[in-house]
Parts: sequence; structure tokens; C-alpha cells
Amino acid sequence: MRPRSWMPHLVLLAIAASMALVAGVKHLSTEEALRVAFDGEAPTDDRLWAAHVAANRAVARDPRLGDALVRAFLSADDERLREGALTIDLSRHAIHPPGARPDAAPPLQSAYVYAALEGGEYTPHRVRSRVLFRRKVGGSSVGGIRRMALPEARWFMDSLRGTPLPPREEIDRYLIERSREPVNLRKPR
Amino acid sequence: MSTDTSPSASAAVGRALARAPWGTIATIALVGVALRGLLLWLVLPLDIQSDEANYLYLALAKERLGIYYDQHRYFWPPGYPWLLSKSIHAFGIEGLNVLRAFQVALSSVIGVTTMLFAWRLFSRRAAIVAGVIWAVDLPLGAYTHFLWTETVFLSLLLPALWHFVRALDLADEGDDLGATRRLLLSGVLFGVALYIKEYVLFLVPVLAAVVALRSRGAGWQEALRRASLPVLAVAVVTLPWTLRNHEVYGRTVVGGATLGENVFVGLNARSMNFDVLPLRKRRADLGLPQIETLARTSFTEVPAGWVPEDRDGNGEIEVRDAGWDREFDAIHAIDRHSSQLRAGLAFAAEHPAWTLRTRLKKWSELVTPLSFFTRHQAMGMYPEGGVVAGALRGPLVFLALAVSTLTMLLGAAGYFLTLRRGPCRAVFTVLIGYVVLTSLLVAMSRFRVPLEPVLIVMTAGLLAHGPQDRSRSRVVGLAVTLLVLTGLWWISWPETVAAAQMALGVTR
Repeated sequence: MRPRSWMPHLVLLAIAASMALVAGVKHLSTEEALRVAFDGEAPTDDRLWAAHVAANRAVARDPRLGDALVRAFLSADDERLREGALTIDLSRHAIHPPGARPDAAPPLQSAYVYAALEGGEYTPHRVRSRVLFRRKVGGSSVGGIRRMALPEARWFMDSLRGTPLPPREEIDRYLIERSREPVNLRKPR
Repeated sequence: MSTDTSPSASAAVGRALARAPWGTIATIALVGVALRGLLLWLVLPLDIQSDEANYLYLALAKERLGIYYDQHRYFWPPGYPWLLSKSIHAFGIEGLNVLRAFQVALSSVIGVTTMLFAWRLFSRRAAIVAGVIWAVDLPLGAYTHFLWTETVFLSLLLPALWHFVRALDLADEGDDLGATRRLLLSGVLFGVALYIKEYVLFLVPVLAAVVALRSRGAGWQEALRRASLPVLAVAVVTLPWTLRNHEVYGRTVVGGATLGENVFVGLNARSMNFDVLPLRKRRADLGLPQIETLARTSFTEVPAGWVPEDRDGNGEIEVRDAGWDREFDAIHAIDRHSSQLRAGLAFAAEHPAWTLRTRLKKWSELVTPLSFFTRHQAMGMYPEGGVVAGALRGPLVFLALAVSTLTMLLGAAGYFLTLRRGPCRAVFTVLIGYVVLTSLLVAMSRFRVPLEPVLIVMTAGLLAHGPQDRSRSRVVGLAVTLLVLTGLWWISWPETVAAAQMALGVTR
């Protein structure tokens, strides 16, 4: 390279142009994203990504995302899809019944996470659902309340690794203690 | 050693750097890493707190669902949660401690670069002094066992600044090729740093202007060539993330989007001091008055004429009952950004006197002698019965307070009386100005972290060589700075004392 050469600039611009080109080729239209998100035959990863794209490109709350897609995900066989319904993407499109407080948690996801325990024990999916829904960052209107603490993170990782979870009594005791913590003192914002 | 003023002096710098005391630097860096490693060992097991929990949430969601989600109120860059997700993927929940150990090792980069700056500016002796201060700098060192971004970010920012300064040196020497390589490397490092914190986004253009100004003697074309290189490198390194954001959100986001929420917090009726806010629960448990009730109300009270209302409807007027609300209709932080900025600026314009006095409060919070180490101590985060919360608690808290206080005082003196004119001083000045100006919105001790290595370097210069320039302008500059610093400390003194007492375990 010669001194005072513009070659580095040209190389950088060429790299940038190639990246932009690749991004353009891989672009997913919003209509296509919605189609894939609802497609029961599409792979789970594709549906999660499509929901991510559709939910975040929207400029206003969309019942297709906050209601229909949540129901579709929550009724899927794949636990990952059900858990995907509990994240910020679809929670921020929650459609509340008339008269609900503006900071009320997303109703469909709340009902799912707080449904009676099947078989009387916390399943790995149940623990992950609880963490993904309630410990999300963003406030109560999207279902988040209180930050995550270490035991929950440990159970989450244990659930992924197949390590047995604590008995129901222990998890319940922990969750009740956490729910009694004064929110306003812990979270001034 | 260096006079740091002319091309010939820069050439001397180049030759001298080839003889940098690498053995001494490496030895001190190893000692500093060992001390941080020992500290980590002493503080485990350590729970997570505040943003640490949020980073972990993002990492768990990424691990399970393969997607990096935004935080609704914020949109942080993905780098740190990505590191966390890789660590927990490989090591399970123990991955948190593995990442902490990684940060301990990575802090050597901070130590080495700090010493190199002191060497470049002053001497071998100054480098040793800087290394010793860095090694015992508890506020900085404690970040290696926190799951906050500071250690990783500084490990990228400091080398980026170092290569930037070296590029200016090489350009002065007439080594265009060397300067080009360093500018490119600096830009790449700034770009990677943007994946950790978007903080430096506007620093790079300012530094580019510094290159252009210092290169004007080489002609405008060469000035443009040099100045545009780091900016272009940053753009290319961050482009994959920018393109990804454009695909997901349909909006252009470089790095992250935190301004909207920071405006909500910083330009709103209630004063929030993040070095003391998390102490509320513990103070309530201990039956102590809340710290905000001790604050000097002239700098914290709500704007005149503004009547607080119970916005969350829980029957109480609290800190969270803000002067204006977040934009509820916006879907995410990126769209909330501009409307909240407008609301915050309108609120500030409506209450100019309040805006002025609360900006002084922000600066006061930036220069507080407190740190996240003292905050962790005050919150009782360190294991009960352990040495850090037990026998060594008092000495460690005093050390943390002393290091913060002395590096600010002596660093200011070093800046005015020992640091000579030249590219490095220009870069340090830009960084100081950048940190001070960005802290007008939201400030806390953590936001001072990018300046701490700079303060160490200037302190080391002063301690190693004493005052070198007692010209009137410099003495006046120092006197004014110390006066302002003392005034800012006075503003938050009640909170500082209360938080320091809690850190020391004094709970009566």
C-alpha cells in the first residue's frame, strides 16, 4: 500500500456494499414474515424470527400479533414456540379487555403462565415460561415484574440441561417470598 | 521524557516506545490481575443486581430462543448479553463466574494501556506509578466481578484511544502508512466497543475532527483521508448489526437506542441518584430514613409550580411519579426515542431554573467519591461472614473512597500542571469533555469509569514529576476546576456521607 492511499477507504466501502447487498437479498417482507409466523408447518426458528420481525416493524399494536399469533404460539406443540409467545415481541402487542389498567400484564400470556400446574409439579417448560414472562425488562404492561434473581436463572439453565428441578414447595416458597418484596422500593422507575 | 509538541518530539516518542519497559509493565499488570482475581475469589458467591439481572435475562432468552430481544424501554447493544449467553451455554450458570474470571484477565488490557499512556506522556517512573494506582484502584477493579459492561468496554476503548494517539504521532513523524494502519485499527476497536456500549457513537466523529485539525498542515485532502478512515472503519464494523436492526425494526439503529429512556429519567421532575437509589430497600429494612430525604432540596426538589400526581394510582406520591410519562403508544424504545426527547426538552424549557440546578446535581453525581463497589457494600451484596464484608470492609471502603477522591484531585492537578500540549492532551480533553457533557442527562459514578484511567495517568504524571508548568493560565484553570469540584461534592455531600456510612456498615 502506498502512503496517502485511498485504498483502505475503497476496501471498506466495498465490504460495506457487499454486506448491504447480502442484507438486501435476505430481506424478509412484513407480509412474508406474518405468513411464516402463522405457518404451522414452518420450522420453529423461522417462525420465531418471523414473529420477531413482524412484531417490531409494526408502528401500532396489532391484534394479529397480540392476540391471534399469541394464541397460535401458545397452542403449538413445540415448547420453544410457546415460550416465544411470552417474550417482549408479542407481549408489547397485548390487547387488553375494556377497562383494564394501562399497566396491566398481557392477559393471554398471564393466563397461560398462571394456569394450574399440570401434575402438581413445575415442569422445565413451566419454569422457563415463568422466567421469560415475569422477569423480562420493560415493566408491568409487558408482563415484567421484579428483576431476575440467581435461583431463577439457575433453574432456567437446569431446565435446559435436564437437571432435576427443586420440588414444588421450594419453588412456591421462593416465588411467594419474591412476590412479597415491595416493588416500589426495589424498582424506583 | 516527551515534550509531546512537535514532529521531532513525536519521532522521539516513537523511538522511545520501542524501548518501553515491557517487563515492568507486564509484571505490574500481572500483580493487578492477581489482586482482582483474589478479590473475585473472596466475593463469591455473588448474587446479581440491577442491570446484571437484565443482561442475564437477555442471555437466557438468547440461549433458549436464539433471538436478541430489546428491553422495551431501552435497546442495548448486543455484545455483553452475547458474551453472557456464550458463557452460560458452555458452563451453565457457572458461566457467570467464568465471565467474571474472563473480565479479571481482560482487565490486564486496561492496566497495560494505562501504563503505556503514562509512559508515552511522561516517563517510565510515571508508568510504574500509574500501574500501581491502577492495581489498587478498587472502584475500577470491582467491575471485574460485576456483570456490567465496564471492564469489557474499557478494554476496547483504551486500546482504541491508544492507537488513535499513536496514529497522530506517526502522522506528525511523516509515517503516513503507519498512521493509516493505526487509524484503521483504532476505528475497528471503536466499532467493536459500540457492540458493548453505544456510548462512543458520537465520540468518534469528534476525534475525527481532531485528526482533521491536526492534519491541516498536510493539505485538506490528506486531512479528509485521515479523518474519514476511523469513521468508515466504525461504520463497517457496526454495519452487520445496523443492517440486522434495519431488517428487524425497519429503522436505522447504530449500536443501541437508550436516549429516550435516559431523557425520561434525566429530564423529568424527580431526581434519581443511581448510586443511592438501590439502597432504598435496605434502608427501609434497617429503619433508616430514605437518602433522598437527606439531600439538599435546592438541587433535587421538583420544579416550582409543578404539582405531583399519583400517576400509577397506588395511592402514594413516589419517585416514579414523574413530571411527564413515557410514550405509551410507541411499540418499542426506538420509536419512543424522539417523542420522549421532545417531551423532555419541552419540560426542561418550561422549567429553566429547575433544569439548571438539576444539571449541577447530575455533575455532582458524576464526580461523587462513591462507586459501585461502595454501593455493593452498602446494599449488603457481598457474602456475610466473608472477608470483604467482614474484617476488610472498612479498609476496602476507605480505599475505594480515597482512590476516587485522590485521582480526581491529583488528576486535575496533573492535567493542568504536568500534562503538556500535544495530541494525547487533545484526545484526553475531548474524552473529558465528552463524558462531562453526556452526563448532563443522567449521571452516576459508573459513568465516570471511562475517565478513571485518564485520571490515573494524570495523577501518575504529577506524582512522578511534580508541577512542570506553573503559568498563570494553568494555575487559574486548576484553581477553578478544584473550586467547581469542591462545590459539586458539597451538593451531594449528605447522600455521599449516608451511602458511605452504609458501605462501612454504620447503620445507626
